[in-house]
Amino acid sequence: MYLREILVKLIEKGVTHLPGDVENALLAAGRKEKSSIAKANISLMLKNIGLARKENVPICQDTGVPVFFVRIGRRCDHVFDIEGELRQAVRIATSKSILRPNIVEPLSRENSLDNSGAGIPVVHYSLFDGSHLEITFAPKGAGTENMSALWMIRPGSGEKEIEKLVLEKVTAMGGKPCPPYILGIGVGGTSEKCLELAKIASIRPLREKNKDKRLALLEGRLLSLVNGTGIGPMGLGGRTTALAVNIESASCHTATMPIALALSCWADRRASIALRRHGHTWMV
Amino acid sequence: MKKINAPISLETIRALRCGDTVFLSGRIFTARDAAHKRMLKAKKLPFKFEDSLVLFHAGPIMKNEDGDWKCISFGPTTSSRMDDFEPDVIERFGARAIVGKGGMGKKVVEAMKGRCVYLAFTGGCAAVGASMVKRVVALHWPDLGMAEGVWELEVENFGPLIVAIDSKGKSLYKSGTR
Repeated sequence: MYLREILVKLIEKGVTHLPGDVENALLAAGRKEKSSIAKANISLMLKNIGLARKENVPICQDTGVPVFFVRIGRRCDHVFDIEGELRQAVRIATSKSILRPNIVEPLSRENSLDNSGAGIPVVHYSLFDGSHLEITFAPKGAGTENMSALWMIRPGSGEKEIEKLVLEKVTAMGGKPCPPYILGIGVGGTSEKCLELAKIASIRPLREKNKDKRLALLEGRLLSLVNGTGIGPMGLGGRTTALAVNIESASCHTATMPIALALSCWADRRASIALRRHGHTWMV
Repeated sequence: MKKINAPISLETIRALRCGDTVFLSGRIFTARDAAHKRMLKAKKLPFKFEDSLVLFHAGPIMKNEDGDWKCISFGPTTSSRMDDFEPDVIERFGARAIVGKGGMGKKVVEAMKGRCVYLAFTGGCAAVGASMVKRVVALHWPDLGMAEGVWELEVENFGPLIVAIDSKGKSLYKSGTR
């Protein structure tokens, strides 16, 4: 297959097919709910996931900002113009009505009409020990993006302070970021690193816990606290406000304590491919 | 479960209570931030809002097939972005139902009293949403673009819509609205 065709397919899959772990978590949440409104909301989400998959249409009309995570194998010797190819794939996907044209110049608000722009698509790179490329597409919708936050709190504030901050923010957000959502929390690092950690946490597979025991326990406590608010599906009341709370952490300066928040709505869209070059073609 | 038709009578609006489920048929108009701003600046609207009186906070994905628009994906956007404009829009254009997600602020709830309801549609359910759009009537103010322009649509049994704020000022939202 041609590379560009592969990338357009990746984008299409990302916005039309919700990962199985998210669908399963919603199924489980629906069984736990008691209120008929909460149940009706979750059952419509599940119906929508099925219909989008069957008809191959976007799950949500907000197909977001195109964001890609590219992992490059250290032994991969076929690194191409990744950003240029992704930009072209995004343009093609937009012309095929797979993506809504969302990208505007920030001050004039002029729309590029093809979802490209200065610095867009957003591409994050990292290296790993391997001989291929891995690309993850995770479109970022505005409902959750507008709720993102960074706090530089007093160093040594500890876990209680994090619990308080998160709970205050969750209450202020209410039903706006389409609960039940996935809360990604960055703890430590520098300010920009902390936001990146929160972002990575927000798209982590749902069953994975933080490898650090203390942080895994904090994830569990935060999930109980968030679901204890009763905000519920779409903010209309219920037992499930978050499907997961995921923390990613890094060390920080002795005089700082950055905390960041990034969310994925229930339509936690992410699709990945591994790419290998064989002669003139690419294999998935 | 109730079936309602646009334009909705004042009597029907006043009879709806928080927690009721409704299915809506008839004409609707989409509007987001940019359209709200322009509605309030306009001397006269280029569309007949009185045929509907339903404002839907949404920016769909539409596909143009040989000059005809086809609705691909259609669901609600976060309503609180329109908090500052909505009281004036209700006052000036007589909106009787606002469809969206996440709820609206106190000033809007106040402006809705006695004449308007807020109907919540599940966010992100845009494949299902598009399947209930029977006809794309027109795109007004096309210069605002696909997401921000005003789409005039014909819907059939659109729902379930939950009455989340009723005309007595009661709301299902416990948090997240100012």
